[in-house]
Amino acid sequence: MPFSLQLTGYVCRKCGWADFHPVNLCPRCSGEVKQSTFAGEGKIVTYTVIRYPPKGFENQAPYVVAIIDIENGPRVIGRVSNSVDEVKIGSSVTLLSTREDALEFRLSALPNPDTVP
Amino acid sequence: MREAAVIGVGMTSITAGSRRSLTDLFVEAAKQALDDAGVHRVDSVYVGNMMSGFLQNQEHLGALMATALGQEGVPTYKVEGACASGGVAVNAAVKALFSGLEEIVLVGAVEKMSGYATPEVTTGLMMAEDRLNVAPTGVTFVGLNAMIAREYMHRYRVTHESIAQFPVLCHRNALDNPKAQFRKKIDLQDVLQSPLVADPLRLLDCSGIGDGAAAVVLAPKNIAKKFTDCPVEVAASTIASDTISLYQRPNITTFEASKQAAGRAYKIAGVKPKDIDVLEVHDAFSILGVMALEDLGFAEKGSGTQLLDEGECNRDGRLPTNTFGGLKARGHPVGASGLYQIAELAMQLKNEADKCQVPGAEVGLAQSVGGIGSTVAIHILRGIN
Repeated sequence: MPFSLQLTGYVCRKCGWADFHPVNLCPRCSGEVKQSTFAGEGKIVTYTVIRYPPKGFENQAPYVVAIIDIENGPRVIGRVSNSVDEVKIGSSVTLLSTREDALEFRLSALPNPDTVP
Repeated sequence: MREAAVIGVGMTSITAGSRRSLTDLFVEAAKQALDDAGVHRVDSVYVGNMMSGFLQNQEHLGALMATALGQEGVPTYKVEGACASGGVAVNAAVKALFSGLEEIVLVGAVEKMSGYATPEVTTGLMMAEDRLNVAPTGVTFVGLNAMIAREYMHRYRVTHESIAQFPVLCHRNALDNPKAQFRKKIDLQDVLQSPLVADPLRLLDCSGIGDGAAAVVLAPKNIAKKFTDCPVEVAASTIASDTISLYQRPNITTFEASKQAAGRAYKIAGVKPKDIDVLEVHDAFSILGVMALEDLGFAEKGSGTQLLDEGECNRDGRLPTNTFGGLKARGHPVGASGLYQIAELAMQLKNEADKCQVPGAEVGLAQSVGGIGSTVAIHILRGIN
């Protein structure tokens, strides 16, 4: 099993709502939340390419931002480091880093056909 | 309960690049509305605006505008609900009137967006999302709407070409509106070949950057005829909210706040979608225009573009939509757009819309969306004969 970063998040004790970012109370039912960890693996729900970035991101454009459903975990928003031609709705992604308050993912490596028996 | 009516309307042309101040713009629109109502003194002033603090380093617009209008001493309020600030300001003013504490109320909204670098304005608009967990990804507001568009097209098998009919409709309608920012006919190929801004959305899918102000004067319905021969009743004014962030929703191809606010508004006004003669929706991006047709009850989910295919949203169709050009072509000075919609609907229902007129329009609905559907204001207006 290759090493993959875990995602720390929060789950509502009452209704099970999960979020990757600290929430004071559950946005759905105002229930109390507890910290939890999730696998750093998920699937792309939708994505875009930012070509006209906000202040501070000018040197990075174009870049891919996606909404991702984490396996058995919350829906999140984050960057995908691959080029836009490679990204598709439904692509599997792996968490790469959580630097500077933004989650960054890359497309999950496909099995190398030369090594698969 | 007291009922509210619009007794005066005013608005500036929407432009980019002028050196006019927030105050100049607001006073022009407000003075028009006051003159239209024949009123000199009001009981309170409500000012809708989103970004004056960030872009102009100016807050306290309530007192600023009341002073500029010679209304010194009245209660004043700045009302902010991102791009729905105008709609939310009208809702606040209507509630003030309901309270009985205020009788003649001026509500206006203003936004000045031109004259700043695009990344600056882009950053300002992102303040409508969550600063802490979404902005650090570098996503923009166009980007969030682009993600909605991509999922919508994928889920419902709708082509970009079908959605592009919305900006084409708005540009056609704006040709007849002398105050519109973009009075230029475009076709589907213009939209589909314009530069990508945030894939799949292109430049002509997106509203532009503009400056403008609009205003209305409200009074209790039972005395409205003292001021004008054709007052317009505010038959419903509702607001609903949703999560601040798009990613926090299980389904991003519908705005729950639109459905909720509209459902309540229909009930309060005692009308159904089929009774709406003229519709103004928040088409900041082409996809939002299509989604609005569905969320407001005019089409099944995923089939909003069929209304466009069939010409139903044209001014001579069954559901005339964005009759002055909408956000796309009339212009979208963000915090002011919700008030342009109300002012335009009132003109329609007073039969004063000139070349934009929908003959015989009696009931109109306006949808003003703040952020990524996080605040939605719905107004239903009805002509009083």
